[in-house]
Amino acid sequence: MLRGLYTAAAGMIAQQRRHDTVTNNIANINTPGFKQVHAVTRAFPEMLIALTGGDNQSMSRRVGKLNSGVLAEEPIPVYMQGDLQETSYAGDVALLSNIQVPGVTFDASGKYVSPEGEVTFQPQAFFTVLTAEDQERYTRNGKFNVNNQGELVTSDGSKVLGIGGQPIVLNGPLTDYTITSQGQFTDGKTGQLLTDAAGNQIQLQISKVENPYDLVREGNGNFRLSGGAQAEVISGQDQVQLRQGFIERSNVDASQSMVDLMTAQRAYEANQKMIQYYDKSMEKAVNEVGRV
Amino acid sequence: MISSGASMYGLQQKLDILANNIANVNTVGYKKKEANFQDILTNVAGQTSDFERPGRLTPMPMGYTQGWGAWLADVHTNLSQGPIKGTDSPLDFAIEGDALFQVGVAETDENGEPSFRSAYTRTGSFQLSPSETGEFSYLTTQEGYPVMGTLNGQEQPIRIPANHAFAVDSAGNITARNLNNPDGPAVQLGQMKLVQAVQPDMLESVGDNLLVLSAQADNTAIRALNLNSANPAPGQPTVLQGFLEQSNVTLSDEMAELMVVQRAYQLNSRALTSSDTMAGLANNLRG
Repeated sequence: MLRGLYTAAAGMIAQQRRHDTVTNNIANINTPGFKQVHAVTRAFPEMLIALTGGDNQSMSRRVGKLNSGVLAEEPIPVYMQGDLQETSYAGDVALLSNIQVPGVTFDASGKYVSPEGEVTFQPQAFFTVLTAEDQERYTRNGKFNVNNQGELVTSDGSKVLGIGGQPIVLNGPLTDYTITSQGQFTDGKTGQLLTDAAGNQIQLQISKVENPYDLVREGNGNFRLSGGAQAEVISGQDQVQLRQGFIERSNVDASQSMVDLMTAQRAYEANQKMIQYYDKSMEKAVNEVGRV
Repeated sequence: MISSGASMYGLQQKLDILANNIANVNTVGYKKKEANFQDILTNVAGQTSDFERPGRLTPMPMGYTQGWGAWLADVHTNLSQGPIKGTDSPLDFAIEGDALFQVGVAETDENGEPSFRSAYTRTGSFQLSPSETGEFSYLTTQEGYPVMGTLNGQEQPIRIPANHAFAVDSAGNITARNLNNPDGPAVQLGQMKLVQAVQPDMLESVGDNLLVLSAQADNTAIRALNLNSANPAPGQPTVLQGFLEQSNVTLSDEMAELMVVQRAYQLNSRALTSSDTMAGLANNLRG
């Protein structure tokens, strides 16, 4: 059979996946805290091609290696810091995450390759939320509101957790509170640190994820750690800052996304042409070569 | 194609909200609405274990995640302070701080008795509506809803006796003087009732610049304020007579937001066209 037909079909499917990923990025260009996704393609495993028949040799003569296609392997999120936009709304909090690891200088994409070839990724900070099913999730979308019971919630209703793993409960409107750069709630008028009913300080729980690529995207801005693991809370030394009255915009690059869209579409078209040529070749083989 | 279509719908809704804000840029006491986007639920296209290859960054059970665009997650009212303009009319009031006037909407309850339903507003352009007997006037909004106050511990509409000029201090205490007897004693008419929204998202606007508590709100969403002019608490709201609070919509912010939404709409429609072209290519694969 003509191998190339399946290769071209695999190419079309892979480009379709890439196109879908870029379309989703563009759709989320205004979603606060959204991290854009790159679809990575990978070639099929190589095959050794050998000649059949030929001389009377026990071993066929090898021609070489051939990849029989391409697949869209995985969507890799890009965890670069998004721009901050000032909204002056008391419930908007932006997270500035620049966690350093001693002895390591990360490049612009958050990766470091040591001289021995070991790869380290920059840890990222997230807000910790509790979904309606009592599952712990992480998010960068800092648009908070106060619900009917006085709990601090995100846009989709997940409760924001404070230090100690309990949802934060507030007694007044959000405009009464000022959130410091470490996430502590203070009285908006006096600047005094606030404690809840149990005497614990009210502070947002910021989680540090060591390898952000272990996060699984769930939708509604929530991420979970695969395998049910839980992230640890940041320490005082980590360079994480919070800004009240700001939101972190999506880090989607509009121009790059348009270029990726056009590239995916043209590659799709090129693969389509390949299939059409194979079709024509097979039509010749079937209809004209074997004509009686 | 589906994600582009869904996101364009969300952007359309945001455009509607922005247009409403811009239309109300001169409405006294209007509070702008803001909308938040959120990405739509993601699904995972499973991948078999053959997909686990060296160099793969994301963990295996994940598979290939597909997003479906963005949607408008919630719309809330931004109750920030609007600019205050002086008008020299003693019937114009502005609140500086986080508080609302309480007005009563007349209705009949289950027993057929007339009662007042509470509504709240920031629009302080009031007027005097004479009662049937003409002995006193009610202080009402421009649409005729009486403003509530507390007199001797009881909550009732504010009544100003005829031929009296009244003054309101920063805590809302009302004193009136008889115009026929300017040197006579001042009459205490109680205090204007001011409330604070503890959960501002539980308030919904019903037109006529009024906000009411939504059905699922409980009593803790609103709390009454006890203003003390002699010993004010820090940051306490104050009532200003002779001033009006303008809308808190800034035209420049709304126009910038409008341009962002328009460009996002354009990008999404471009992505939709591109998806359509690809679907056309697939359709024309053969014949």
